Amino acid sequence: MNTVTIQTSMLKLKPKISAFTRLSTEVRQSSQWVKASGSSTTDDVNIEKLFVEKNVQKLLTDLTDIDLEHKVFRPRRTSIQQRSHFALMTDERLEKTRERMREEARRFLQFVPVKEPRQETVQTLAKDAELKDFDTSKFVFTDITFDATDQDRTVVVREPDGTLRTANPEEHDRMNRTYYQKPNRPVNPPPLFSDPYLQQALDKNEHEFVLDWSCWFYEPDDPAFVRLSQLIFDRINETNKFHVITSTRHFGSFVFYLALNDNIPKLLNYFGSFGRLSDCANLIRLQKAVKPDWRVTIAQGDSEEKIVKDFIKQNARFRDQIGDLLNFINNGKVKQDQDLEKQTFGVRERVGRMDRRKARITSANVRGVEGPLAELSEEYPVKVVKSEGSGERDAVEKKDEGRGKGRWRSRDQNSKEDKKKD
Amino acid sequence: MASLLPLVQTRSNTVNFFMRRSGPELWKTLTSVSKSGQKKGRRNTRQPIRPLNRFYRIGSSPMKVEFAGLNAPMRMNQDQGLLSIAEQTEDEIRDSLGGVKKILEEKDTGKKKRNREKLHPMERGFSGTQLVGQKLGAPPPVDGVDFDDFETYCLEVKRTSNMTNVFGRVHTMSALVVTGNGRGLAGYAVGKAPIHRTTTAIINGMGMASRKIFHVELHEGRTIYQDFYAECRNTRVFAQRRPRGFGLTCHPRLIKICEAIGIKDIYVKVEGSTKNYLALTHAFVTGLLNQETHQQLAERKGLHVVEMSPSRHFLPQIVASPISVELKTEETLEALDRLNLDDFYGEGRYPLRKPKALPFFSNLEGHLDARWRKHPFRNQESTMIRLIADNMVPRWTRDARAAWAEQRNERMTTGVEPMPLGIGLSHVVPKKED
Repeated sequence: MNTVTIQTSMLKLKPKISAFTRLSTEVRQSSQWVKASGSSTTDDVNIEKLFVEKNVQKLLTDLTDIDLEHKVFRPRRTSIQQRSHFALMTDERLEKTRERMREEARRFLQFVPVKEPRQETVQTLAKDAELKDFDTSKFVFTDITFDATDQDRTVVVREPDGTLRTANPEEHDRMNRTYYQKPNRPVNPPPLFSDPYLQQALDKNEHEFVLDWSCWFYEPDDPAFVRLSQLIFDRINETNKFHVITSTRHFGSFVFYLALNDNIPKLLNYFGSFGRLSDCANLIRLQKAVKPDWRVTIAQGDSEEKIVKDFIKQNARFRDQIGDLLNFINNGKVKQDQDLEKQTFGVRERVGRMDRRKARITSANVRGVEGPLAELSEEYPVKVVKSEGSGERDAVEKKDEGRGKGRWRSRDQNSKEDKKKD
Repeated sequence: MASLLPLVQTRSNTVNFFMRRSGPELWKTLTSVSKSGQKKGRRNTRQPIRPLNRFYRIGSSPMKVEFAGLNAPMRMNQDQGLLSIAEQTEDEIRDSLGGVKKILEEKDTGKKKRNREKLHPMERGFSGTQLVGQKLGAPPPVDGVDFDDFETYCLEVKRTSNMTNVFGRVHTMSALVVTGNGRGLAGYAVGKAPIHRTTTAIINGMGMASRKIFHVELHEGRTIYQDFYAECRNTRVFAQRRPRGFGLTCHPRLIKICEAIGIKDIYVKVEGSTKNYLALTHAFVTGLLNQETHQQLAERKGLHVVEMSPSRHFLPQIVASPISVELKTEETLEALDRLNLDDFYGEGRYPLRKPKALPFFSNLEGHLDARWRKHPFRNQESTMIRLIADNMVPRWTRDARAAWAEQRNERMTTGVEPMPLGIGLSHVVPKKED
């Protein structure tokens, strides 16, 4: 394809062209997010609108639990070397800071938008037969006025046969890239986004990394992005690796995708295995909100248990997929492997080292079995030397510092304290 | 009675100076210096005694003379005489001509063999083959306590002098030695010995350092707990805590001390005298010993010590909380407790921060011109990386690139790939057929 690119500012032409493009979204038939194998006939549903609906968003946010320690703010590699900060805090202050971090985490976990892929079809704007064979190349006209964004930028192509048409998504992206380069967005998609490298990454539980990178590389309405995220979501669901995507910004679209395709039993089972009944109920509510003509009925005042039990009763065909959930509902038993899964996640980040730094002995547990004496603490009472006012203590310390035996004595005291701590 | 005197050898020639004097006497004229000459520094102008007998053997002159019983076997029949002149082959003549040179060369190779074995660059000391700065191993055991896992470094050897009533100026070798096990235990001392006994001084210092062991608490076993300032004499030390993997960025002597103690990440700025190594060591160790651990800090302040790590996006994590004192609340907090911890420990002192001086050539015309000539190629490296990453060019060698260009050319001439044409691109001019 030979092209000649010309940047223009076509303010007059714009309304006409955008009218064309709007028309194209309305005539869309079925959603790319709904798999054809699903027996449902809800083809005319608008996924984009459904995803941003208030109750759907609320259910999705409730389902995405925020795990600060192990997921959202787990130790990651940073680009610059920086030492950690230390601060003195009271309980109130600490709680306030944690609350701020939770707020930050909510901002971090803002969902990736679920959008329909852009249409490949183009509109013919004009056919000027007299311009036929004006050149051997196509001419691409791009609007680079200040207020044109990458999404609504007008790009039109004059074919050598005289036809003037709107650009297809690929041409549009190329023109965006030509005039407004983005860092870390090279021309060719990285090999990670295709097998076998993709499968290798997923085997190492790097789902979040791949999804984050694809967000960085593609626009959310890029057909390749939609295809890739569906592929990853399917593989997560197949292999039951839900722990890799919980507490991430992709969990919302993941659950939404499962609910759209009537594919929730495995996730229900996952929630059930941890005894998270409210999450189970929310998931069923979400399925109902996404598919109003689903045959499970949910009344307004139903309790969570009733919703889940109703679902189990009416979907006997899923019985073998939701063993853990049934075990929880009937016997109240919970699989205790939640922490284990969290530790196996993200091996290369070396979580263990960071956790060792945390204070394990506090005033609350010095006297207990958790404290320095362990089991012996039941036989011997642990005594903690109370200091009389901080000022005096300082004075004593200052006297002891300096030289000679005094220093040794103060160190002896310290080592005694250390022994108590250990 | 026959006298024994005729048996005593005497030199009959009294005319020639060289015949008149014995060998040692002759050598003395070359090698000796008078007392006053010594004071005037003539010692170095004298020659060493040369072993002449090594170069000139009896009978090995160009005319080869064989003395029976001396360099040839004794012969029983007397008629041949006591000495004979042997025939020489051409090889022997050649050998004898270059004989002196050959012996001298042999001597040289002998010297090379005496060279010490080479140390690894990481184990070499501060300078040359000197012991200063080298790893010296563990100090000897004291009272049944052995220091197997200790490593010793000598930081300095110098000659000190003292004026005495009886002996005048007395010189002493003094060695500053640091020893440590790399896990917080360390000791340093000054060892002394008489002049020129460098090794003795170091060994004395090792023994003393192993008796003066102190313990330093290390944060995460790798760095200091807080930034500190310490001073001794005219040496001021500003030490700063650094993240994992930073390494030791400090005075070379302090690097050795840090290695002995086991500090792995630190930045230290030394101001004032940087050559008084004893003061430097003392200041640094004082600062280390005056540190407090997080637990001690929590006890003293009655507050949680919270770590906010950048790798966790500054999520607060309690590192220590007071055990023996009550936790303070917001109401009982004093103004001092609200101070930033880093400011609090520096005692208001900060090291001088100088911007790095530009090299002298940075503004020279030639340099600027060279930079401008390189300017068109500034993106070449990233393009190379991108092309290799996208698997366009297998390897960045001339051959691989030429093959790639050839392949593209072929694809364009056959029409598989379109020729990039248009505004801003150069024209394609077909080659002239001559």
